[in-house]
Amino acid sequence: MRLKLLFAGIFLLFLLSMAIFEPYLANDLPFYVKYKNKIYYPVNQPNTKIEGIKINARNANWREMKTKEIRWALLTPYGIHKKESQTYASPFGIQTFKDSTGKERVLPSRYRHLLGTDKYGGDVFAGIIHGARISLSVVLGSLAILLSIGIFLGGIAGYLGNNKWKMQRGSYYALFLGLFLGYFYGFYVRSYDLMDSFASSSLLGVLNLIISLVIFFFIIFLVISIMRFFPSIPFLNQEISVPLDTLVVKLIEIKSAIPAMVLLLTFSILFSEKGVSTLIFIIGLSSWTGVAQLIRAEVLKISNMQFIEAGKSLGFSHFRILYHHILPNAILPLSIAALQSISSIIVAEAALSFLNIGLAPDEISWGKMLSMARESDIDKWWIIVFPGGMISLTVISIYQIIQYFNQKGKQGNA
Amino acid sequence: MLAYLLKRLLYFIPGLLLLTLASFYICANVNEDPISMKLGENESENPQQARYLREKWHLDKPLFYFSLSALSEPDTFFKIYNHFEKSAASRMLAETGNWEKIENYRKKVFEWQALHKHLQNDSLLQNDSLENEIYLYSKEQSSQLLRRYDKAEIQAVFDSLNYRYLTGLLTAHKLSYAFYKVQQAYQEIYLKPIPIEKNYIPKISFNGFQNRYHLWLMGIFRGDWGTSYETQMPVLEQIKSYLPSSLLISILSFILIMIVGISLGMTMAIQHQKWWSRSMMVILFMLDAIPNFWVAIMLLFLFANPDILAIFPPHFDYSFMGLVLPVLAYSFGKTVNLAQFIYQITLNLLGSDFIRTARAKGLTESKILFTHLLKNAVIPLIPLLSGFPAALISGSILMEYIFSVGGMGEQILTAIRQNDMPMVMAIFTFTGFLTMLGFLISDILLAILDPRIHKNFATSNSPS
Repeated sequence: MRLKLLFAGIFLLFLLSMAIFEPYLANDLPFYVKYKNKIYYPVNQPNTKIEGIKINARNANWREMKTKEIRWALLTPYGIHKKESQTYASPFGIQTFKDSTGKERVLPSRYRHLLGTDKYGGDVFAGIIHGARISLSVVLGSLAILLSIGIFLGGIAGYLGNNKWKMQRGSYYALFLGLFLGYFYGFYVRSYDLMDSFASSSLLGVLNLIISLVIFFFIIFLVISIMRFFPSIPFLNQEISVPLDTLVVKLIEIKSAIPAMVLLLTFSILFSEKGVSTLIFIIGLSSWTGVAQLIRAEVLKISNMQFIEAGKSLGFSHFRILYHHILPNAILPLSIAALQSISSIIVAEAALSFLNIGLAPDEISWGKMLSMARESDIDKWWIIVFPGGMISLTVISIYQIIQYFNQKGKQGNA
Repeated sequence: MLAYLLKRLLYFIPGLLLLTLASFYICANVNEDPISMKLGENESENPQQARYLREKWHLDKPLFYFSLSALSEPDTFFKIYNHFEKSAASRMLAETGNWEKIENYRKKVFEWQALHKHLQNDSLLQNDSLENEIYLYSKEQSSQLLRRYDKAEIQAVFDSLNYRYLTGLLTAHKLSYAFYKVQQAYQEIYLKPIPIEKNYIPKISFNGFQNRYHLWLMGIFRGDWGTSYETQMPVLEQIKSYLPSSLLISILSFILIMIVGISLGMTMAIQHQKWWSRSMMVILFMLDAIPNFWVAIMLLFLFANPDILAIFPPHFDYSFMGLVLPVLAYSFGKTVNLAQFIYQITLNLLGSDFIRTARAKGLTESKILFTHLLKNAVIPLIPLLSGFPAALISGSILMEYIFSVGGMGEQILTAIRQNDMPMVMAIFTFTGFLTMLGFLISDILLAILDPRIHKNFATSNSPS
């Protein structure tokens, strides 16, 4: 058990470092160039030009320049021979390239494609490294989205339930008005701000989205609190409870009624642009139900325990009890759910790019390499075995860690 | 019991409505106008056909019973069909809030555009190549101008056209007056004071029953799911023609999954101390992690590859050989899951009291197995099966894509790639409906089989 866990951890760390150091492992740009006593780092500044020439493996002009010293990335980058040999090359066969005179020559061992090349002559190893980076960014982004939606909805559904959040009937009706106004001022009026900021950079976009959400909730809060100042009508003054739990459960039921793949594909039509951020949104928005259900169940379980009762009798606020007392106790099941989500995100990402949905045409990922095999060339084993093996190994490693956590949880309960 | 059933049924209806709303909302958010996509540039030359199709597909009607918009936005804003024109006008509106001026500008552009048609047969155009060039350039710009919103871009168009009109002769002079009006109207949009505050006042307008959602929903009740934008065939007929191959594979693999999964899981649990059972668990654990579509490709690579073994055809067909690989690939992952699930359940059941009692009574192992164990192990499967009808319809999209089955799964993929909204909406709603129906039936079945459940339901939903 320990040994398997160790292997899984090492593999995942290896994958992670591969994804993080991708520019230094497989890149079209050298990471160190010395030219006329000046040192350049093109990897860190992709637009570096030396005497007007971009130092790039795809750009042949650098070969004529007399650079004193040049250090390329460790591996043959994905696209280095793309133009010169546009066919498959087996990892064990003779690998050739056409030189500037058009003669077919054997590739020097320094530039050998260790895992062969794909349909367009792209290096499979470099593609796998790049795929790891794409998987990592999709996992991080989607996980952030699905955890925030899942924890928020599951938390309020489980904790407030159907009858803990009470408000005056007037405020309850005003809530609907607040939803409209919040949507209008938070999102409708700001729609072009949001769109433009997402187009310029995703960080700015997320920041703008958060501002919109703050406006949304602030306006709802404002509308609800204004209704408190109308105390004269007894009918509107009656306290009623908001059936949050039913609403969230209904939402989860409807969402899980759609088969996962149909949902992913349908969400994909909402995004006209292709790219990693599109994949992040598609996957993040369509796979939060598992986390929400789990958090709801855990919160329900924990909120019946005695220390919560004690907190309530001390007069702690709902927010403090939920976020400082209940959620920290749900951290183990939450991390198991998060790990499960990670593995499903990786598979979903591979499946979507396998169907050529989500990623831009010039980007390569694990799923996309597999799709090349499906389209025409089923007999090229290296294009099937390596990317698919990476997906499977990653998922197995994550499962191994989940199993470890599960056993730990059982020991903790016993 | 009856109260529980009624309550469950009542909860079913709002869920369904929400489902239709969700599917409609997603598909209504797609920007591309299907008619501009279909007719392309022919649209302006064939306005009757465009109008006819729009009317037929209800695209000339408002989206929903009510609409929330800013005060500056007119009620007829949805009638700007072209997506680029719409977004340009909407951005101008967001900057100025002055719809009257924007509408005036649009009108002037249309007038200028119409003038080109009048000049089409001008003798000067046929004779003079320079005139002709100016005319063509002007015509192209007149149809493109409304799709721009960037001030600098529009100014560049104005400048280049002004320059060309100066160099031209008679034709250009006829156009240049209308074009002067266009420029004037454009400058007026940004003339201060602009009523920008109108953008920040919300407005709700009610559209009555003649809206797209209502008409679509009523169509569903009549059994009319709309017409496919791509093939112009009724959606329902198209689904019917694609269904058989999906159903065949689904049902065959369902049978395979049930037989192999249950028998493997139960045998493993009964003999869980033997070495093969334990190693089988490890293997199943590994297999569970392998994505289904990779298995399918590996199967193709191993058994439909002339270099290794070419036993089976690489694509699906209605023969036995053509069915083997798709059915195997389709049922692989689910069989593994089911076997693990059944293993856990049976292991728990084997330690329970009623099995011990049965053993103590001296029943034979086979009788314990089939009458006591199997019955109890299958009950937890009912909720799992609720997703099955939808899976029958939607098939497995990836599997159908890999094996070119030509069933529903592939149909979904094509519809989404071609932005064929009625098709997408129909599939989305229909699969969702079937699954919800499955949930309903499984809940009712469980309530009948296990009386504890409806009591729990009653407590969790009661107001007190």
